[in-house]
Amino acid sequence: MPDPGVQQQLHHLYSHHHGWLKAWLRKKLSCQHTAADLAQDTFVRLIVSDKTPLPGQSRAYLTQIAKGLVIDLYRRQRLEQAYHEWLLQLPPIDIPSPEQQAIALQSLIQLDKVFDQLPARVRETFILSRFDQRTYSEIAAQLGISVAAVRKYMLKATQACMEQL
Amino acid sequence: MSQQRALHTAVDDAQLRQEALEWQVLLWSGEVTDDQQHAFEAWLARSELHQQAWSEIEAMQQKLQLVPQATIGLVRHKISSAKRRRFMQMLGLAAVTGSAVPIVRQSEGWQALAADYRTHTGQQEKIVLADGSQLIMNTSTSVDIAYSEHERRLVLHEGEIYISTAPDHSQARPLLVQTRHGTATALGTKFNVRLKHHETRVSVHEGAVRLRSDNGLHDLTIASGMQAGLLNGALSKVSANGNETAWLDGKLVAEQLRLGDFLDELSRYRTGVIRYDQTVANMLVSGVFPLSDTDRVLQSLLQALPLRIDYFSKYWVTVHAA
Repeated sequence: MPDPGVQQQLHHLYSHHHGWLKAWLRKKLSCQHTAADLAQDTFVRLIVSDKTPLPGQSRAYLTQIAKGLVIDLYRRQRLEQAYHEWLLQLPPIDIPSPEQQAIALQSLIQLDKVFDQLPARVRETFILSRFDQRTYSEIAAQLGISVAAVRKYMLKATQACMEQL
Repeated sequence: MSQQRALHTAVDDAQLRQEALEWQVLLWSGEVTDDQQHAFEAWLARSELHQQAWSEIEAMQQKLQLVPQATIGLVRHKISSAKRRRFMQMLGLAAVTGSAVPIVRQSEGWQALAADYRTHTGQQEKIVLADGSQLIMNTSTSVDIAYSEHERRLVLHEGEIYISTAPDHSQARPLLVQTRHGTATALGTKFNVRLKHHETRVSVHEGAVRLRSDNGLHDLTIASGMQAGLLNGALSKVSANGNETAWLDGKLVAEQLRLGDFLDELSRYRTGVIRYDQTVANMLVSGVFPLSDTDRVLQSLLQALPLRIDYFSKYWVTVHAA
């Protein structure tokens, strides 16, 4: 729980800038409901971060958080669309249950975040192994690295998946 | 438990997790020897704690398996939106060739100046017209076909159709679809026309379509990949195609769709009425659903959302908040 001073500052931030932030987001998003949600999320993010903006920089600070959330949203929508495009190609009988669809989409979104944090080479190794079904020797040959390096990269990527998936 | 012992267990857990991780990476190599496989099985059989550590790995692996390879391209390389639109169009076209629409009927030749086709609720039908053009009718649709020497005219009275035109070499007769709101003239093309109460909406999947309002005041050529509508005698803004033709594959696609809109859409394919409380109308639905079994779709909503569904009869369904 934030101490009373911080709480007061948050209250002040919310009452002075929430409406403005919502309007700013609406211009970016052209959807009123999403703008309201993201404005709310921005403040949640702020509270969780346990940091507060320096005086006079409140709006710059809030829009910085909000911009990140907008990018996340677009990214999420694109992944969702890609997943739905894939579902569309399936015969109706093979369509997974809504529950499984939700888990799969969530996993894809998490995986996207995991990959963002990994070096390109580690990411490529993991994709070649897990999604292109290549053996470690094949990956080593393709990327021009040793099998030991493939193993090392796989450990790193798998560890990241364990933490976030 | 003493602090010492708690610390010890924590270290053990971390150690076992690390070992499980290393086994997984080894087993994924695609080059596992029998000895390695036996060694792994021996490791797993050692204790319940080993099995527990392994089950965590398995849970992650199962999630990974649910992610289709086809979506990884997006994560691997960033794809431009134009490229993606083209990809979607490709899918739209692929959807037509691999169509799930069941019945094919041959019309009696273009001398039959007027023909009448109708589908019932939940029914879809594919018709090959005299000139080789294809007409796919969605649920609750009624179309008159009026071919003449000068034009190939389809009159859409109700519902939704997808048209794939054949070139008319002998005489350059335009193919056009007429609704109560206006006409859509094909310029060598594949396109979808949906007639709603107040609006006629046209989405183009190949070639182009010229849309003209009934009062003759508005006129617009819609390019491939785009859609526009006639609403209250005026043209709506042109936008990119979404999932308008998923019905050709027998599917309903929802991307963050309001539950109210979703249920309205679903009820097109279902005999009877679906009512819903306004309290649930703004919940959001995402997913791909089979149109062939609307009961199953309704049941599956219960898994995803806090809802209650009452059946007064098979034909009267009400959706409430749980």
